[in-house]
Amino acid sequence: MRIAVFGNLMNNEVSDLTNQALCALKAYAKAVTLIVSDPVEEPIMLPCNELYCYSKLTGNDDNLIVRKMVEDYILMYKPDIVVIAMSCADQVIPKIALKCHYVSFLACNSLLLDGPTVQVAKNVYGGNASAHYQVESPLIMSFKPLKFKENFLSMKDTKIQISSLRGVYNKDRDDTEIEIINQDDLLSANFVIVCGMGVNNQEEINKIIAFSRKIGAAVGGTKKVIDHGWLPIHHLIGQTGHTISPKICLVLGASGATPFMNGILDSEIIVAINSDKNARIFDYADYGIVDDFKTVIIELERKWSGL
Amino acid sequence: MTMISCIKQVYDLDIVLKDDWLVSKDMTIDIDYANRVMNTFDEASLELMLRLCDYDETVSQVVTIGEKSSETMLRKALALGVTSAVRIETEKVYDYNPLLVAHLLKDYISGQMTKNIQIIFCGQEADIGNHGQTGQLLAELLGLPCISRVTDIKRFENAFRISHLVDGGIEHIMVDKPVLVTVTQSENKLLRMATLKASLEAKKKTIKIFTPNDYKDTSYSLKKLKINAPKNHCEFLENIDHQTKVDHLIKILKEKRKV
Amino acid sequence: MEQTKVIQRFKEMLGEKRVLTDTPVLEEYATDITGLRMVQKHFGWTPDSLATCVLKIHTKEEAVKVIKFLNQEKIVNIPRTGGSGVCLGLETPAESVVLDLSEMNKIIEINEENLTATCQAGVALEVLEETLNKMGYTTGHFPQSLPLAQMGGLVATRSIGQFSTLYGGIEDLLVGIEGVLPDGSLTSIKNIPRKSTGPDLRHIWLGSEGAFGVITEVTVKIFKQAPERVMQAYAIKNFKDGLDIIKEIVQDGWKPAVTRLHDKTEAAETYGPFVKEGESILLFLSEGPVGYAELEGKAIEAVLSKYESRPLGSKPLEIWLVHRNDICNHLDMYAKQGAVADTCEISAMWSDIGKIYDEVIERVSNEVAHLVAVTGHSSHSYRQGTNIYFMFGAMCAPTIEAAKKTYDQLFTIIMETTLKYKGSICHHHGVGRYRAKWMKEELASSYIMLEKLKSAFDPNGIMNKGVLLIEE
Repeated sequence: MRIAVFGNLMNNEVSDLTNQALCALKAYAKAVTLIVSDPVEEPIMLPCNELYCYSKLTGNDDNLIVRKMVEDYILMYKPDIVVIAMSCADQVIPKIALKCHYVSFLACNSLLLDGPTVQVAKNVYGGNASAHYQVESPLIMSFKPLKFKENFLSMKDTKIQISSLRGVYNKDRDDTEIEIINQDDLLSANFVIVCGMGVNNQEEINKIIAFSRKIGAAVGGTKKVIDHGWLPIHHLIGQTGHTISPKICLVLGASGATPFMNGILDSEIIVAINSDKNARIFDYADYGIVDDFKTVIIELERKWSGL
Repeated sequence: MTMISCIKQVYDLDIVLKDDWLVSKDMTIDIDYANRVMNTFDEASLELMLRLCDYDETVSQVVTIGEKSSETMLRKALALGVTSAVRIETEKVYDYNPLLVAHLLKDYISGQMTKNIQIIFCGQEADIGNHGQTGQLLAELLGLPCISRVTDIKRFENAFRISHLVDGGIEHIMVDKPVLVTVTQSENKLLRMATLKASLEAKKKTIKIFTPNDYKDTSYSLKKLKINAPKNHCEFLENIDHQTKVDHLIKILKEKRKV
Repeated sequence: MEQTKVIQRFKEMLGEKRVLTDTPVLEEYATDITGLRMVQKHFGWTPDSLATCVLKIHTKEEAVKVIKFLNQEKIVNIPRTGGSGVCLGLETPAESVVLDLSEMNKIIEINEENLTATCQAGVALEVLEETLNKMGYTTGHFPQSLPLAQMGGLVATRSIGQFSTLYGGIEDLLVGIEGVLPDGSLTSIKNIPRKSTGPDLRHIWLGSEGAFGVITEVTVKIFKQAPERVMQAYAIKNFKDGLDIIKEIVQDGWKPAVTRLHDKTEAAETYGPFVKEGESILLFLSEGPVGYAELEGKAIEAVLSKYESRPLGSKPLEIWLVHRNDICNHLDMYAKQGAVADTCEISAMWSDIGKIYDEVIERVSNEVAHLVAVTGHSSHSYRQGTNIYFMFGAMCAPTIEAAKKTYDQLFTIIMETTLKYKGSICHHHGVGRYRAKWMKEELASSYIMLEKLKSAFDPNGIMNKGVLLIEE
């Protein structure tokens, strides 16, 4: 069984997504080849058999570069399993799969190899259940953002190979513009406050944002909050938005619908405040307060200085 | 000009009671009592299409795959102003295979390509499978470019300005050739409501039935279905007044922050 | 007296912190959660007038002191607790003062011998219910406003709960009550199971909507939590059959705590997979001492067997129990999409209720342009009649005026039809400022009694001016 993981290296360190994928595949490290398009400057230690560099590929269409790199690699080495551990994974995987006749899965929870059998698990039923698929063909997949991250210092040096492939991949259109959005460090914050529908209106959300700035927390919202336009789309937490794993996730007025829960389950602790003691959020929370979130926040704000 | 929106009828999973998440022997979950609703991403996607069609003569279609009961949803779309509705009839259930779903849609849509199709809309993903691949696979089968995670589309003379989420921001692309978009949720894209009068008129309209080719895929199969059960270990801070409750909360937050 | 001086006096009485004058606070207190305002807010509505200040009252002695002063200075005041009103009863006229009793939130006594709970006016019903549940008791009172409502407001608006067919409305639950009259007298009506000492004075407070004084403390009945529950649902041919079935069940003497009949539109919308097109749905929940629920369940089954009906098991009830208070979100969704939406509940005798339902549905469907839906259900039944809870939504032009026009048209049809068949324009939401215009017709020759009560208790007209009675 040969597994090809496509990832990113920066300053001789793998990106978070790549790190997570390598962790998820740790048990099969001997079968793993990591492929990157970044230059490798010095010896590196990683849980994989070898490192392969496509550092001669350049251009301004990241998706196209990745596609070219993966498709060429598949053509040459025919790996049994391809894992894309880059942020463009969901956009390139279906296309590569069709072209190369691979079976494709996005946002998987895990990959399980048992002799010749390959199983992938991924969330179904809006995250209420997970399905295990047995795959009989070559497979291309991505993992959903996972919690674990490790440093690989205890490992041996990884063998490095440099590809001779060259190419420049530019966009066939130049009429695009990108609006950079400041994400308030939602993904890296240690403390995130998530607002649910119970927060009820724009003014309350604004108050919470002001409070969060004071205490150094980031603010996210559930689908319904985004639907209402109370927070911009970049603050969406949940299955189709961001998956976060802060130390503290404080959830205000969210009922706890499963697709949302899937976005915060990896938090170290979840504290929920909801006036409905039967809200599903309490099934998932570590600590719960049955109360009007406003009263609690006002009190919290009053006492916060001591923290 | 024609626009097509691919929509799916799904279970309203919010209705399902906690104790009913049980997997039966045949690897299904019995939630038949839950209401059928339009997939939420498809709602956003349909609303985007309707907004583009509001001010001119663009012909709009909705297409779905499913049994007769999904016509309720198609009629809702008709009541909202969509020109025509098509149901791709199939006996098989394709919940776990986006490629087959894309093939069925391709069978129908490729027959429509002569009608000057400008944009094909798909929701980003749908229950039960939540694969999030159908739109992209369909684009590839039709030989169209695909823009995914779309949040907004605006019309400009002979082109469309399509906004979609990319790493760290929103990219706006001007497009003047046919394209398939997969729409994700974003602010203020709630599907409009139909008036009672329009709903009654939509009931009288004919829904076109399309029979696709038969497809099979043996490259993978569902082996196990497992419920993702909640932790159920919540410790409630049940102090009598707000002050003590919040003191307790601060203590927990402090401890956690230090770690 | 000048407003700044008024504010200064309150600060002397209550302390700086409990006299709120910030504009955002006054704006929050300027209205309630009436559907009309919810949609108008999306179209840019702002209050016509703001109160001078909001006073956080903590004791009955403070209430006495403040009200005496208000009466002396003839300052209009709006008593308030949970703020979950839906009839504009809490809107603040210019230069008025809000008396917020929500911080008077102590449960004074739970008496397990007499089965009563005595609470300050600002005790949240949800808190009381949870406290009682832990001891094995219940209030038996579950209005949809449960997460917001507080005890004083519930009495002042003649609230009712979803289990009313067994436990009754707040008028059946109230045992004793204490309140401050506009002249500053602190009055208390003692706790007695029943008595024959002239008119029942508690009824001055029940439904007073702040027009006669301020409620400071109430004692309500509590109940042992029922050990057994039987839940059953039926699909039936039409709404009329449903009314007949409920009538027969309650007139036979049964009291299913939850007795609900949803018309075909609501049945399809909420219980779609259970019903066939055109069918209505009946929901029953029986509870009581050991043996009772089963007995009542069988009796219901027997009545249903006489009609064209299909048993649907308990699942629809299980769903209803979990999702019964979700409506608030839905209303806001409607508003967000530019639709005027609200609910309106009326009641009438069995002989007339069906006619009102039919005629309202027909008239609204025919007369209201851009109607999205009009539906109805019966949810509180009595031997003599029942209520209908209408829900409606209609698109309108995105202006404050257009929203009001559509809202008024919908409400007027329901009010007119109800009065035509001698029903009551209001079953449990209260009159507020919005329905006051129909009160003369509603009370007819007894309207004068309400006027006399008002002038006797509140000769200066300072108590929640504008509610209950038409502004002359």
